[in-house]
Amino acid sequence: MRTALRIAGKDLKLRLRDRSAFIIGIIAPLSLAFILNLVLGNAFDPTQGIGLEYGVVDLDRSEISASFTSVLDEIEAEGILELERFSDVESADAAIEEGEVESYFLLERGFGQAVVTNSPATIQVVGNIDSPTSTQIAASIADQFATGVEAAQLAVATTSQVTSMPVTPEFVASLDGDPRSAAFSYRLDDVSTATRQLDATTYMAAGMAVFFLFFTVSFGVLGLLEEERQGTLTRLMAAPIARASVVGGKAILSFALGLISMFVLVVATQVLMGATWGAPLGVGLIVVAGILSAVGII
Amino acid sequence: MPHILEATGLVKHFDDLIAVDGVDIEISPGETYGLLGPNGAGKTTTISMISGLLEPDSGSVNVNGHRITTSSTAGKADIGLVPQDLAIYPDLTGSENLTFFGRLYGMAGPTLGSRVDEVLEVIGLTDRRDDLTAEYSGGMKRRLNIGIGLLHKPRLLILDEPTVGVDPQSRNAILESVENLSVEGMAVLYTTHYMEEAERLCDRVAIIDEGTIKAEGTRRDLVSMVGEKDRISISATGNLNAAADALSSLDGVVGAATSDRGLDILAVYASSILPAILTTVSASGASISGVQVVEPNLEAVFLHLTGKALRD
Repeated sequence: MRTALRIAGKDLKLRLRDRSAFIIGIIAPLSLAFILNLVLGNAFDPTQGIGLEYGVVDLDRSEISASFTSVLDEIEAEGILELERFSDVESADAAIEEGEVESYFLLERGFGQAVVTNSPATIQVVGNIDSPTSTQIAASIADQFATGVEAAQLAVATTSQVTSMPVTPEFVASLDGDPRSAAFSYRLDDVSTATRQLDATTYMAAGMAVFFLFFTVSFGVLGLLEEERQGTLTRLMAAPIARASVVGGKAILSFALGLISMFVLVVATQVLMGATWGAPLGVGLIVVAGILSAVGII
Repeated sequence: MPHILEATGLVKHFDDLIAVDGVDIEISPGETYGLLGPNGAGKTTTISMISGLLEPDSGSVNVNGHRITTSSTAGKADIGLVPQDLAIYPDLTGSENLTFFGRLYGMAGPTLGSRVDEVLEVIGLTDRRDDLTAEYSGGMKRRLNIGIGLLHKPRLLILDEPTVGVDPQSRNAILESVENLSVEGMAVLYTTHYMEEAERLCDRVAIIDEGTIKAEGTRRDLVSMVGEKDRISISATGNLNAAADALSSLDGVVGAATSDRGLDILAVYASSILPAILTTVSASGASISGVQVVEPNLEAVFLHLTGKALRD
């Protein structure tokens, strides 16, 4: 083992002296990660490219339809979507044609009355065929509202049955607690995929680190070929040492270079680029396992 | 006196080629033993087996009482190997090269440091010890190559054609260094295809060709094998191969071969058949510019034993 360490130490000195390991192991992956992050970083933003620009046409102008548009206003206030109001369907269709909005909500006349009287009520979602994702999100918002409305309708109907009173606006208004508020009790959660996969910066940093790891650990095998080319392998074989220690020395060098490279890259990308690698212990274990695998493969 | 090296019945095949076929070598302490033969004679294969780089197909090698195999470590510490090709790290300094290899041979601390200083002094590189060897001249690299072999004070130093490709000045320095080694009691196994080096350095010489040792002994022993024959050196140009063939069939000619300058001929009673030799050479289409009858040397011995020149 001591001989293997001596051989690895000598090789490490040679690698540091000719700077090849420094360039391949640290400079190249760090530079590429930085450049790729600058160029392609936004392509990995999960909200990038989805235009949440919606319109609403409220032909009903009832209290219920107003409650729906006020929900949309709240979401707009959170910065998740942009909302534009249209007075008629024609202008909303024109806006979709011109790409000003991706989708619009249509609340027909009688929508509020239908809700209050427990009759079927519809919120139409009209979307641009080229923006299926944003249209689907709009439909989800409408579904959420409809679910709330259905819950309120169920509550009113149940009360009407129990009290044997007809469902009228006065009856609804006389109820203890406003069942209409149930329609507003939905939540729009921004469950971004970024919480479940690597962000762009970390993705680039990890990708480049692992990609160049294979080049870095290959210095060990290259070292054997270099010993052969320089003729020094003959001396090593003629020395009173186990032949396995020569191979062992190269493997130790590969592991050491891989470890140094990965450590520097993890720390540098975290500090300089804001990459989030996760828990240090877990990262350390994965890095060691990755280096051992790369050494084994090479 | 026990032998430092005892190599017995060494045989090595490479597929159908028999590189070494039954070589026996024994060397005593303080003795310089030469292995003289042309390129491809089996010199390097023989020393590769002796130094534990190659496993012989049959036969055995013992150095200072230890059996040498490719996996043994005990006896290898008694061997210093100077390979034919340079075996140094160009990106390490001369001192770092010596220190690294010294550690592989178990040296450490002040002992190693002082020994590195000594060797650098012996090979004349003290002033350049901290320079990268990539910046050394060819001769300096050769000297360092030998210094690494000497570093751990081996009982047996094996030098494989150490002067190949070296300028005359460095060559002379190397030969002087080797001459001094036997004084220190080190056994030296020296392979070469230069007759002059073998004659100058070696106490005993083995003439090797086609994997077998043709003859072995002191220079005097070997030259006496030539007997009453004379060596005739003819400086000539033209169709020398045809001339050599024609001479070989001439009565009184023991051997004839082309040389760097013309023709080398071994003949009985040269003075009486010299006119016939010159006539034959001229008739073969060669142009003669000089003739010299010289005392037999190892070159003549090789010609006598193999029928061909040493450089073939």
